[in-house]
Parts: sequence; structure tokens; C-alpha cells
Amino acid sequence: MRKLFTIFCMLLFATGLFAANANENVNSLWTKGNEAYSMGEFNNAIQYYSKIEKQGLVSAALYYNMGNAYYRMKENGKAILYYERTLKVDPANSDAKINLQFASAQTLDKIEEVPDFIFVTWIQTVRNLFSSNGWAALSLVLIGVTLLFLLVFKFVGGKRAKKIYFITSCCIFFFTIVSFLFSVSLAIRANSSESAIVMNNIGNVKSAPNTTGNSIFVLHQGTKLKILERAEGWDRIQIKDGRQGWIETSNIEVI
Amino acid sequence: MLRRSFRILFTVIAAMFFVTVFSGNKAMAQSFVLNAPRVVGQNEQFTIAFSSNGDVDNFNAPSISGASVLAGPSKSSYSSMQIINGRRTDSHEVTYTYVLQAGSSGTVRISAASANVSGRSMSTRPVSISIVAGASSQSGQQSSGYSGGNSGSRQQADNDYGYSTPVSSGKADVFMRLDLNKTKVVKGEPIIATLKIYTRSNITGFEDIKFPVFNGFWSQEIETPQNINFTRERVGNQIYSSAVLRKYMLLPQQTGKLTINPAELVCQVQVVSSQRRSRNLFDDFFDSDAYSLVKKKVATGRATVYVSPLPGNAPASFGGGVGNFSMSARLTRQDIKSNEAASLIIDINGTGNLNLISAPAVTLPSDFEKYDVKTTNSFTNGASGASGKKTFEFPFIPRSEGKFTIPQIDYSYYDISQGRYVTLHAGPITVNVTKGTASNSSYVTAANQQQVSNIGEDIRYIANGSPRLAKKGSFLIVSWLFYFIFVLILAAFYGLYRYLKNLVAINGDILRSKNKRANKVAKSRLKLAQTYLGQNKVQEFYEELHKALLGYISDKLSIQFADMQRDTIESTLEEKKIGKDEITGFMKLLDDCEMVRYSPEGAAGAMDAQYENGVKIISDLENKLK
Repeated sequence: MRKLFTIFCMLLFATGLFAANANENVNSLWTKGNEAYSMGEFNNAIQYYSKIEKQGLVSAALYYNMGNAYYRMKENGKAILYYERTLKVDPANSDAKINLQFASAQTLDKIEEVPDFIFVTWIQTVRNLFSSNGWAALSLVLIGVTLLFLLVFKFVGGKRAKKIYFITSCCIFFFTIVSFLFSVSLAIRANSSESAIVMNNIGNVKSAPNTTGNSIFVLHQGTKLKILERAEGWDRIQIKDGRQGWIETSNIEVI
Repeated sequence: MLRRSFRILFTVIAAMFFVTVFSGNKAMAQSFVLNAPRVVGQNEQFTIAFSSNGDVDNFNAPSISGASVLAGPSKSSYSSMQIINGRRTDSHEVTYTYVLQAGSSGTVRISAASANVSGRSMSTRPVSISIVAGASSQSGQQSSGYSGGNSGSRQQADNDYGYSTPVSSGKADVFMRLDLNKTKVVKGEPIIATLKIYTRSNITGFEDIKFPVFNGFWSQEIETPQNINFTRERVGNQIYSSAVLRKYMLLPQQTGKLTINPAELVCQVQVVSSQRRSRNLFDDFFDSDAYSLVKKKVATGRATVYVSPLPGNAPASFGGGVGNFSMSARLTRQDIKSNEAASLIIDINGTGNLNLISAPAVTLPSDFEKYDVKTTNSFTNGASGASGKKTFEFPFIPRSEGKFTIPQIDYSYYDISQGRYVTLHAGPITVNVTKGTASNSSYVTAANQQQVSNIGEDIRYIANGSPRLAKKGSFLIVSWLFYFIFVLILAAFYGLYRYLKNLVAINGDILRSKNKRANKVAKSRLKLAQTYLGQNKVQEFYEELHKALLGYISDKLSIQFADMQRDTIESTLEEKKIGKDEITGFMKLLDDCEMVRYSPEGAAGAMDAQYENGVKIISDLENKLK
């Protein structure tokens, strides 16, 4: 019993550490930013939010509010960038999804999207139901349930009941693995820098990573693209319809 | 000679009256007017006429200066009566005519003449006629330009007066002009273009008329005379007969330098032949000069209009109007009921390009059913563009009762005189809709059910709760916490597993010891039976087994041996909550033992099993019966 209590205390302490990053200063910056936004001073709001961001702290809510502020400032490229960042942290954020649609509707480029394999789309849809942390927590809960069922299987019931308990615990263990993998995949995605948004009003995409290369096509502010390769001052990119080219790094910003 | 002239003159005037009467003297209002030419040549003879459509008393002759009166005033009267479809129309004309000879220079002034027309005192306006020095009129247009005349008779009169007509076939005595009332305008500003022909010769006909082409303009003919009426006009030092061929209203639709392509026309002109033809008696008698018909092509010059664009700062409510307008808005009626049609009427009054203005933007309440705008034009095209009224009707049907407001209506136009945009305002108008008739009520309920329509769409509001900030790139899945908790869960599982296993083991020990004791009891009870089993004594074995079973039950359940009936044993065991299986097992074993006692054959082989069975049943009961 005493052992259990110490474990519990340690657990509490650990979670405390995890959440204690938000100190007083950051909280006041956050409130000031929200107040500025509600007063219509979007420029000030962005400054407050940026100060939080500069401390190396992120959250879906912070990115989302920054996106909103940029949208109100009519800086569509930035707004889209921050909405995408919100979704990168929390793919389940429905507000960010809606607002991203608004911002995207005002971009100039209309690119036919090459659809993914339907099975991949399904998996991605399920994966984007929770954030990485959500899936991690779920996997912990599920592993607990799995083990509980194993205990039940071991110590309770007759032959037929035992069979059911065993199968159930196997299934739950499968879901545990899935949610663990989802969590890992989302974390990897969030840390990757494979997508970017065009920031300049006109970005020339060239056939080679130098200014003398032929221009292949032109992208406009707010268009999302995939970074395939990075070179000195240039990035090899791919747009949704599969076309590739080189664009100057200064033209884009990584999500 | 003079007498004859007068006679012919009077026939001309009579003919003229005939024309005027039949061309539409329908108005019965009294009039008293002076017909006189605007310009006359030096020493030219001409006539002036005061005419009235009623009985004239007390004609007060005007004083005439600058010209000598050759004859007059001579009074002539004319009356007619018509009965058409039983309606009687009377017309009456009285004319006082003077024949004057112009002086050598200056102007002829004719002061006001007054008369009593049908009992009303009326007077003409004073008129001045300028004398063109050095020029003599070619066509002795007796009847002057104000009322027009008959060119055929004019020619005759001319010759009879014996005017010298210094016209030769080669001279440019016919020309055509396109007059624009302005050449520097803003886009949309109305221009009046007048196509006029000027002649000093006698024109007998026109051919191949090519009217001007107005590229870059919206054009409308505002005067297309059926009869070409010549009036006298002074051009330079000459007197010409001029006539309006067409009058256009032009609205420039493009900016910059716009050129109007020239109009062309071929005239048949009568000119005096320089040499006489064969002098026969009739020629000499009827005609003092010889005339020949000449075709002459005339064309206007190329006219240029400079159109400047409207200033760029046009208000949103600009409807394309250029000119000077006013606006008023009203409802067709005041008592508007739901489900009954009504209209909002907006009148744009003024002058300018009324034809081209668009309807003002009106936001009717969303509960009103709206219909297409009806436009009614009631304007006349005049010198400064169209003037009058353009009416826009916005029909609507209110679908529910209540008080509605039509917000203020703004309408902007470009004011030419001020050189800027002017915005007109009307409203706001309050519409009080009362409940309509009951017959419509079912429709109302149906119409009132409507989707909650979006007025506008916007992004969602910011997140206001706790930001739940975390270090960038930190995730639970890669944190130590996750694995710590994972290990904790495993540890908890293991702990729990060990605990439960231990618990089961202890429980198992108790069970085992209990069984051991029960087994011992059973074995001791069946000791004798076991020996008989070893000696293979079937009869004795079963007897002993039977006895042992009953003895055990009797001891255990404290039932007297004498009361040992099947029913008693069964019910008592049931009372002690012994399972049905065990009871039947016990009973069957008892039955088997009894069976062997009465028919011992064939039971020997099962003795081992029966013994084990007995041990099992007794130990089970021993475990369960406390």
C-alpha cells in the first residue's frame, strides 16, 4: 500500500513538471493577446502571441489565434501558415479546419489534387481524430485495459468465459498498438518540415536551383507545397497535382 | 404690275392659311401672332402678317421703322365649319397683311400690335428684322420662315417680283452643316447635333442621303421633319434659306477624341442657265429666265468631339447619370397588407442622360418577396438632353406583418455644372404591414417557414481558454512520462498478478486440506468395504458400501437409522443446499448397492469404480456439509 502511494506521488509530480512550462509571464501575454484581438487591434495581438512563440512554446490554441489575427490583417499567406501549424499540432481542431477553408478560398492558385489511395485516406482520417498526445494517452489506457482482461482471463470464470476474455484482451492490445503507432506518426509529422506555404505574392518555380533556370510555373501566396529536397537557398518542391520544381527558400515558409 | 403682284401674293397667303388650318389648328384657345422673316435683303420687298383665330376688333396697327410700307394693312378672313361624326368644328382666321420694302441698312423694327380677339385683349411681341447689306435674297420667300410655305408657289412669286438672282451653276450656293451645341463634354453628357441644309438656290429634291455615323455615341433622333421647312438665316453677309434635316441627341459612350463621319447628300438644284435656249414665244411669255436642273453633292465637314472621362472617385451608388437630377421615393399606398402586392416608386427627375441611367440600389427587407424592377420613361429630348422623369418601380409582396424599414436610398450622378459627383438621398421609409386577409393565412404559414439563411460567413472566433502550451516538439509519446506510466502500468499488472496468484494459492491450500480430511473420513468409513474389495467378495462389498453410505448420512445429518427413507435423505440434503448432481449421484450409488444385494450377477467388474465413486461422494458431501 505504501509502495502504491509513493508511485502515485511520483506520477503527480511528473505530470506537474510536464504542465509547469506555462509560467505567469506567458499567461499574461496570452490574455493580453486575446484582449487585443477582441478589441480589434490585430497587429498588437500578433505581437503578444509572437512573444509567446519566441519562447519556444507552442500550442494549437496559440497557432489558431495567430492564424485568426493574420486573417483579420488580410495576410492570407500567414493565416494559412498558422492554421496549418495548428492542424499539425492538433489535427482534430475543427475551428482551424473551418477557418483554413475561409483563408484558402481567397488564394489565387487552384490546383487539382491527386487523390490518395482510398485506404490511406481512411487511415489518415481516423488518425486525425485525435492529437498525438491524445493517442498516446489512449494507448496507455488501452494497455491497462488489456492487462486487466488478461488478469480476468487468468483468474476468473469457466472455460468458455476465459476464451472470450482472452480474445477481448487480444483485440484491445491490437488497438493499443494502433493508437501507439498513430501517436508516433503524428509526432513525427509534427516535427517534420516537409510542407511549406508560399509567402510571397508571386513565387517563380524554376527548373533548376539557380536564377538562370527556366521558370516552369508561378505560385501565389497561400499555396501549400511539399518540400522534397533542400539545397543552398533553394528547395525542391512538389505541388498537390504532382508537378515539381525549385523555389527560392525566401519565398516559402515551413509549416 | 403691282396689282397683279398683290393678287398673286394673296393667293399665296390664302394657300398658306389653308395649310395651317388643316395642319392642326385644333386648339381653340385664342392666339394672335405675327409672321415675319428674320432677315431680309437690302431694299427687299417682303410681307408680314398678323393672324388670329378669332374675331378681331380694334386692330391697333404697329409702328414700323426701317422699312417703308408699300401696302397694308389689308384684312382678310377665312372661316370653315366641319361636321365629322356629328361633331361640329368651327375655325375662323383673320389676317392683317402688310407689304414692306426694307431700307438700305440696319434693322426693321415692328412694334407690338394689339387687338381684341373674341373679347380678349391680346398683343404680339415686338419683332426686329435685320437687313443684310450687299446681299439679296435668292428665293423671295414671301411667307417667311415662321410658318413655312410651299416651295412651288414661292418660286413663282419670286420670279414675278423680278428679283435679280445672281446664281450661276458653278457657285457654292448649297451647303450642309452639322452643328453641335458643344464639342467638349464629359462622358455621358448630352450633345445636340443638328443637321441643316443651307441654300440660296431653289432645291427641287434630294437623293442619296447618307446621314452621319456617330461612332462611340449613343444617338437618338429627336427631330425628323416630314416636310422640309425652309427658314431664312443669315450666314456671313448672305441670306440663306435653311432647313433642319435631322436633329440628334448624342450621349458619348467612349472617351477621347471622337470623330463623327460626315453626312452626304445629292441635291437637285435649279439654277439659271447662263445662255437662253431657243427663244420662242411661250418661253418669253411665261418665263423671263431659263432654268436648268443641276445635281449637286454636298457634304458636312468632319466634326470632332473631345470627351473627357468622368472623375475616378465615383461613389458606389453612381448610376451612370450625367446632368442634373433629383430623386424622390414613395410607396404606392400606405395601407400595405401582408401577401398583397405593393410597390416602391423612385422618381428620378431632371435633365441629362435620363435614357441611360440605371436603377438605384434598394434593399427591401428580406421578408419581402421581390420582383423585377419596372422602368417607365416620361421625358422629352431637348436642347440639354432628355428632361423629365424616369420612374423605377420596385414591386414587392410582404409575407408577414410588422413594421419594416427600407433603408435610406442613395443615388449619385455627375453634375456637369458643378463638375463633381452629387449624391441624392431618399428615405428611410417605414413600411407598416398589417395582417392580410384570412384566405391567405395558410399560405403565410407555409411561407414563414424558412431555412435560417446565412447573412454572411466569417471565420470562427479565437480560442479563449487555457492555451495548454508545451515546448516545441515535445510530445507525450516521446516523453519519459509516457514510458514511466507504461512501466507503472506493467508493474501494477505484475503486482496484481502476483497478489492474485498468491491469493489463489492460499485458497487452494485450504481446499486441499479440507479434501484431505474428508477423504480420510470417507476412507475410514469404507475401510471394511476396501478389504472386501481386496478379497473380491462382491456381496459383502456392496452390503458394506450401502451400510457405510447410510451410516455416514445418518451421522452427518443426524437422522435416525430407522427414519432412513429415500425421500427423507433427499429432502434433507436439499435443505443443506447440496447440488442436484451430487444428490442423484449419491442416490444412484445407493440404488446400485441395493440392486447387487438382490441380483449379484455381473456387478463384480464395476466394484473398483463403485468404490472410488463412494469415496468421491462422501468426500464431496464432507466438504459441503459443515
